[in-house]
Amino acid sequence: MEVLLRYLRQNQSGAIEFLDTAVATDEITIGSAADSTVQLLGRAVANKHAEIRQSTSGLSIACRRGNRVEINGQRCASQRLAVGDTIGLDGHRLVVIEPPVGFDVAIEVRPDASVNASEFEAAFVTDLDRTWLSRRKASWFLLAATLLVGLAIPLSMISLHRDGRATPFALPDDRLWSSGPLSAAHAHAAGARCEACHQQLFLHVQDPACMECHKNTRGHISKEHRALTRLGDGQRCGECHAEHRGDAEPLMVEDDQLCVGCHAESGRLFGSIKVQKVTDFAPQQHPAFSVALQKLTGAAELALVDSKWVSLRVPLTGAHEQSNLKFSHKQHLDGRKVTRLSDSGALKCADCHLLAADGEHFQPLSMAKSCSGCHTLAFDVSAPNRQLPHGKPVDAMLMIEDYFTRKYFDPPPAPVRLPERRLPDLDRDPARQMGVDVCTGATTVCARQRAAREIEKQFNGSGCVSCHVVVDTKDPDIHERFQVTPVRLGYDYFPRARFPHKTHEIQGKLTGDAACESCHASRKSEHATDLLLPDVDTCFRCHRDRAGAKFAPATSVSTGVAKPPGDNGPQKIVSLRCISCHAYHPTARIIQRHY
Amino acid sequence: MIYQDVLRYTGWRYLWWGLGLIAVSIALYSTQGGAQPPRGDTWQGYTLGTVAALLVVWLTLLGIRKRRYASGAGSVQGWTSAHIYFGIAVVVIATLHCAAEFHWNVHTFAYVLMCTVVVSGIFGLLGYLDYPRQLSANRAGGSRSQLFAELVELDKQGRALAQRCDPRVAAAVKSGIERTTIGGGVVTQLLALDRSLFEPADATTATGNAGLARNADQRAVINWVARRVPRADKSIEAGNLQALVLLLCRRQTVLRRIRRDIQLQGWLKVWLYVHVPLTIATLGALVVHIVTSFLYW
Repeated sequence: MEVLLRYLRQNQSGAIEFLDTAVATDEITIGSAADSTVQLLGRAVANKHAEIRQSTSGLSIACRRGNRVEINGQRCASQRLAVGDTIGLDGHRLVVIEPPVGFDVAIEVRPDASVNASEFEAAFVTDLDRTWLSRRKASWFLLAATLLVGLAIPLSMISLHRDGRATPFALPDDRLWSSGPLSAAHAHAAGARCEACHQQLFLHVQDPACMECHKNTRGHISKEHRALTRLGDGQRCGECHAEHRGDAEPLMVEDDQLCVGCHAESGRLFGSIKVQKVTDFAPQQHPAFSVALQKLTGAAELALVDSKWVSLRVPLTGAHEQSNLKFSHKQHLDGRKVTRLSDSGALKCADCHLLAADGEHFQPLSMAKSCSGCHTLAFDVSAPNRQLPHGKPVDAMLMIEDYFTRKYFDPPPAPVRLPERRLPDLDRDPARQMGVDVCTGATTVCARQRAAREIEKQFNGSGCVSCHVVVDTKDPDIHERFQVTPVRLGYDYFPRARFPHKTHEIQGKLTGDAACESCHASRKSEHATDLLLPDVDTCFRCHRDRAGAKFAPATSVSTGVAKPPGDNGPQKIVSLRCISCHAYHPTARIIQRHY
Repeated sequence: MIYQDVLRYTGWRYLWWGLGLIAVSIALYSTQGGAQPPRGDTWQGYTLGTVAALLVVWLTLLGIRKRRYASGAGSVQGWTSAHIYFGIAVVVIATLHCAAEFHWNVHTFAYVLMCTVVVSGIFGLLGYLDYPRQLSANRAGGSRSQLFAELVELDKQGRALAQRCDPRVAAAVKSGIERTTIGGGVVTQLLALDRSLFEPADATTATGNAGLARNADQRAVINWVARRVPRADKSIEAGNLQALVLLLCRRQTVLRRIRRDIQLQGWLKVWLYVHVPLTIATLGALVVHIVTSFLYW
């Protein structure tokens, strides 16, 4: 629309001056802004105060939000305008006049002469406080948002979760409170269900929550044992197992103090339970080893059947094994006396002792797996393929009787096929065997005599008795006369401790048998009763607790502890924690044996 | 400057206190380990957390202390000095409290809010170290109201002088004066943008109105008037026009100073619009942090 703006102003001489301005615009804007169609200054004039528009229904004024104008003395926010209406605004006056020809609208502007440029600062926004920035509003908003999102909404979600319902609409829930990611296993099991462990608000996670899943985990000692001590209530699982540390950190707090805290004062705290004092893993701080052994009891000479194996725990020093075998490691490791079938070299440790899958223990030894490669159970050189059944003495006797009966009734004997290589335990002189076959009696008698001689040789001369302890009961019945003492080889001499043989197969520059022999004095052992187990001093050659590892000399000259033989290079002490060797929670096997 | 005095208050007293606090906190932190790996829930962690939380509350109290002019609890200068050093120390203490473990949770949120508050405070402090000098240099010893009074006087003289010139010149200069903008929105104030306009009443147009033209830094209106000086019919008119150009140039200088003043005042203050609301939010987040830590202990 074409607008005529007529400014009326008194000049210095007091005469009224007109200044006409023609504007082509859609709307007449009124305000203190410099780009207003009608710019008016004053404290009550907003930057953009009001607009005058023309529509089909006529001329009208509308104020911006919160602003007011006076139309003919009446305060209002919007109003239709007619010719002659006066718009009042902070002392300024605008009068709608009859538009001259060519104009749609004509407005006479009579600015308030008393308003001058000193009002500029009020008219303009010269302070950030007058912009949209607000410290107070922002403070309230942020405070409310923080409390709502961080506390109120998650708190209200807890009851939903406990009813088994999920968080609706991706609202914030108690996951926001998690102090860090869970370990992988717990994250898999509990996921986002905080309440799975945090069952009671304002309380630490209680053990029953742990035991819901860890049903088979046993406490360090039984309640009955604990009652005998002065330890009081047990520790909470969470005191040693720190969660919300992610996968990078171990779930277990591996600190010796957790163990030593009680075990250093075992005499005072453990009451009637006798446990040796441990203060550190260092000489004089850690007790010598005790070993778990099996012993045959009640084995009176005539009543082996009534004997039974019992477990013993005795100090390692001076302990002997009762396997009821005869065996010399020294002899077997001597390459001049015993060689391997495959390459005629000396036997190696691993030829008999094969590491079990756990990397800790060794596969059980047996006649079939460990001995029969060299030691056959043939008893007649003329029939080297005829082998006695192992482990069944009576069957062996019957087999000998059967064999010789048949041999005497069914001559000639089978052609002798000498083995390509001499095997141990066979009678070395065939002439001796041939010589004893001179019998003039009845064939049956001769056969029986020959069998009896062979049985006596096996159980009293050389044969079974070469390896086994045989009891001669002097019973006239040859079948009852000899009893082989039961054999039991140790499998786990330190059931409460862990020792990874796998990681000790290489020790510095020592590998193979040299690594084994650095701890096990097998080359000196002549009897099966020798326990070739090293004591704790052997461990101290390479290991200490964490504090000791920093200060202990690589080769402890002062304590006389030698380095592993053959290793002259520098050796670093490897620190160990209690739980490197000991488990806090007893395994089912330990419980079965010792609880 | 005032704020350098605040920093050096009583022989750097609070700097040493702050450093002492940090040293004690680090010593306490280093006693953790072994059975209690460094974390917020060891007794050392709880102690550091309590100290940090109390410090945050105390730091907030500066906002109340500085409004209580009659308070006898130490000088505001001393409080501000301590506020600065303890505010920086609290970041170290809080970091030791959480053992620098950060995750997407309410706890790290409180930490981040607190750090943002401290960073905004450092921003404000850096401003206070330099802006007051620039402000007084810009005002040349006067005040903003004096600058505005000078502007009013120049406006009055300008109008009067313009009245004695050609009506078109009068209209143009009048519009130039009236349509001068000062300040405005946040960005306009902080960048000292000038959105001034004027109406160059050009004789070539039929209505005598060429519409609104940009008049940033008053250059357009000065050029417009200056161009008329050589075309003046009478020497007296040329003299008036020359005087008018001179006056408009003086006005330009005053306006520049006012805008610079608003700009410097704005930068001196704008950080508070972050610092204060985030401080309140930090207090809220601190409450959430403490309550939720013990809800799921």
